[in-house]
Amino acid sequence: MHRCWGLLFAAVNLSAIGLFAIAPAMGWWLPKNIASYGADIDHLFYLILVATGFFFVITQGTLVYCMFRFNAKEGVKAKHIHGNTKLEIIWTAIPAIILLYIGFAQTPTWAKMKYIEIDTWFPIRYKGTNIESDLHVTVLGRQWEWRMRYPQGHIPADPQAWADLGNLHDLHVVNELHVWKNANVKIHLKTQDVIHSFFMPNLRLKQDALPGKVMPMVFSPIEANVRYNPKTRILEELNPSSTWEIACAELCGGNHYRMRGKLFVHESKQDYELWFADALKNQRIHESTRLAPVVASSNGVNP
Amino acid sequence: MATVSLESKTFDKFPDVVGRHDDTNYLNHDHSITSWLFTLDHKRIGLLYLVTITLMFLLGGALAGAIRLELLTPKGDFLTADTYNKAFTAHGIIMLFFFLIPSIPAVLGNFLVPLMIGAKDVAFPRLNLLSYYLYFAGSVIALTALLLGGVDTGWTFYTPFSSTYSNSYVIVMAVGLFVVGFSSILTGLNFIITVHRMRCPGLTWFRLPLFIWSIYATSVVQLVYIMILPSLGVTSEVIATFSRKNVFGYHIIAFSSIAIAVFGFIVWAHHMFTTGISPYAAMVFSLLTFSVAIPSGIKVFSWLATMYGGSISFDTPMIYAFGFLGLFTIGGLTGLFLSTLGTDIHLHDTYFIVAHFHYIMVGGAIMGYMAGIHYWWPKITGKMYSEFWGKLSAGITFIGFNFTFFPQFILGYLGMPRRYYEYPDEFQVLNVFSTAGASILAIGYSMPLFYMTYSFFFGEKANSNPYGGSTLEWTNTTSPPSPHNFEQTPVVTEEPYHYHGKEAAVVSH
Repeated sequence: MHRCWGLLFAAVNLSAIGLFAIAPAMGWWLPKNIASYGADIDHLFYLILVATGFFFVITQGTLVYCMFRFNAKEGVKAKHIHGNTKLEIIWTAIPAIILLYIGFAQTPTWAKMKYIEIDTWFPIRYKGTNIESDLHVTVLGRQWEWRMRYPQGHIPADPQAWADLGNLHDLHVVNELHVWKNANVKIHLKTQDVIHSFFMPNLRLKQDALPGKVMPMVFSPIEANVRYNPKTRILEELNPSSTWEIACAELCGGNHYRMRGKLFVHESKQDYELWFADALKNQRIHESTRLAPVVASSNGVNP
Repeated sequence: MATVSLESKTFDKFPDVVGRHDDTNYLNHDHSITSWLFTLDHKRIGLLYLVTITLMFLLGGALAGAIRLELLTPKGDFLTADTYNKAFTAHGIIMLFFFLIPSIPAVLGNFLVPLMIGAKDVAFPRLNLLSYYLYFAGSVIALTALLLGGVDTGWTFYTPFSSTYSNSYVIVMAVGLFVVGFSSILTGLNFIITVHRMRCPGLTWFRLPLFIWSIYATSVVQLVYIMILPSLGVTSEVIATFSRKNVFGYHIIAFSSIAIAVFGFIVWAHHMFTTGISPYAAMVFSLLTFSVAIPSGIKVFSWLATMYGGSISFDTPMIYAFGFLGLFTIGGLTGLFLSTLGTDIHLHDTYFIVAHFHYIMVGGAIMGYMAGIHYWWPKITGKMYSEFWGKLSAGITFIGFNFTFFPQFILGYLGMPRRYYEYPDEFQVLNVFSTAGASILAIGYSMPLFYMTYSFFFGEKANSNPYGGSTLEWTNTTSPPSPHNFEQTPVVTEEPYHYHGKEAAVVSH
């Protein structure tokens, strides 16, 4: 009887491990990373996976072993062990050291994500910021869409004031974030109504949009997925499977699940500028004929 | 002496150390309705909670079923989007505030705290009854909110969605939660004072059963961790009893409960890494969150060491405790992905976190609760349940649970946000797994309803200590206990789990 239970637990644990083993082959792995800091995050993920996997195997292995080995037998008494100070210190200290290691090993990644500089020896000490942006975009969340606003010339004179008030010559696009490869992008994230959360899985990036605040998001994509064709005026995907999602990750009402967009990384700044010029021209035509709201020409819109 | 004949129980008979003086017990000394509704007896109040929270659990479970059914296909087809939002909101509220928080403290805690410390009742029996009626009133108000049309904000009620933009019954629900909050605060207060003031002679702090330590830590700290802490206490009791061994590292387990409670106070900002809090504050909170893993790890290692070299009998409560160990370990370990800043930004508000907290709160807390209910059922009702059905339900629950929630880890790191009514087609395979698992889980959770109810009315009589437990509720009271618990106030002369030297008491067949 006890062997059946031991086998059941062994089988469930092994299938959990097995599922992880086949996951990459099934496409059930971390989505493609396109962020400059993303590889660091993925390394952290693997580091923790290894550490937790180790403790998972040890604890579950011991559990299954105990189930097989120490079942009650007629005439066999339990061993009386009160405790073992050495053992207790070991299994307090080893996890503590591993946790401390992960705790401090993660801080450079975090600093990279937040574009801050930290002390090498005491990594939670602040040394300065290092944001130099090539492109500013204001993203306004509202029930249930993302409204992107792009400045002419990519960098407004006073980014904070621009994020608050905008400019008459801005380009407005719904649910599409256009940037170019290797650009240092700064997003000014706002919301018109409730809390939203701007989530881009491929960039490993997520930021809540909070009423009354302008939240910064900084990233640099290291891979492109589109090219703009000025002749046909459509965005051509570089690779059929390179659709990069934007999703709202904070419940924001009935159509929360529809608050999705797409991230387009142009292959070069020039390519982005071609798209920008055409999109702005298109917007002006619509403005002059009083047609609103304006959606730029492209192939991917909100489903 | 009652004979317990069970299919596979290794130790068929433990001697009835207390005996049965007469047949008067807390269940049958007065059958009138008023004697139940106005009872001041902590044991009866525990049973009132048991019935009420079981009904709430069924409702919360039915809602979970509706959610999983909706997510079977990528497109919305079973519920509307608004109804879906209301369903998961109601599921969260009911399961958290009306089931998980009161589950072990209010049902098992009420029943066991006085019995385990050799007291006649809790310190304030009237306050205890008030707690129950506050819980009841809170439930009625919350159910009213659901009947009026429900709430669609998620159980977290983030403003300004809940305050300005939602057209659902937020205020009514908030009132219900406000009322039910006082119920757990007063119960906690009652337990703190009971444990401090009403321990029987000789029962020093370090002779307290570990269940009491857990309940005490829970009562002091009314936080998210109150949902898992009591389960840790139940697991310590069950593992010690069914391994016939004293708990390995009693002191360190007791202190680790306190440590989890204390750390639980200072980790709250780990829910806020994506909100835009100061990156330095985030680093500190991340490190503090890591520290919770240390006492949790100590507990798991100590339980395994308790089993090691033990004489383990595979009875239903122990199977549930095994399940607890398996699921709590996965839940705890996956927490490290979420306390790490870089990975949390990606995983926050995805299905990864849904899977993580279900492993802790359903896998951990409910498995612990089921282990406890099965372990103390003979004491609570004086009846034995069917071991066959009990073990079957424990096994089905364990399998069904893993089937349901393991795929959700993968969905999470693939980037599927939680609370989505529709999802992209490529996520369907894993969602189908999850829904299939949920139907297995539903069977596992429903079975005890039937065999436990059957056992309550028709089960074989249990003796005072069918599992050979070593704590006062087993060694000094009848099953079920008399209205005043103990014939004489017990005097404790030794530490709990003192199994060595007592093994001679086992009657072989």
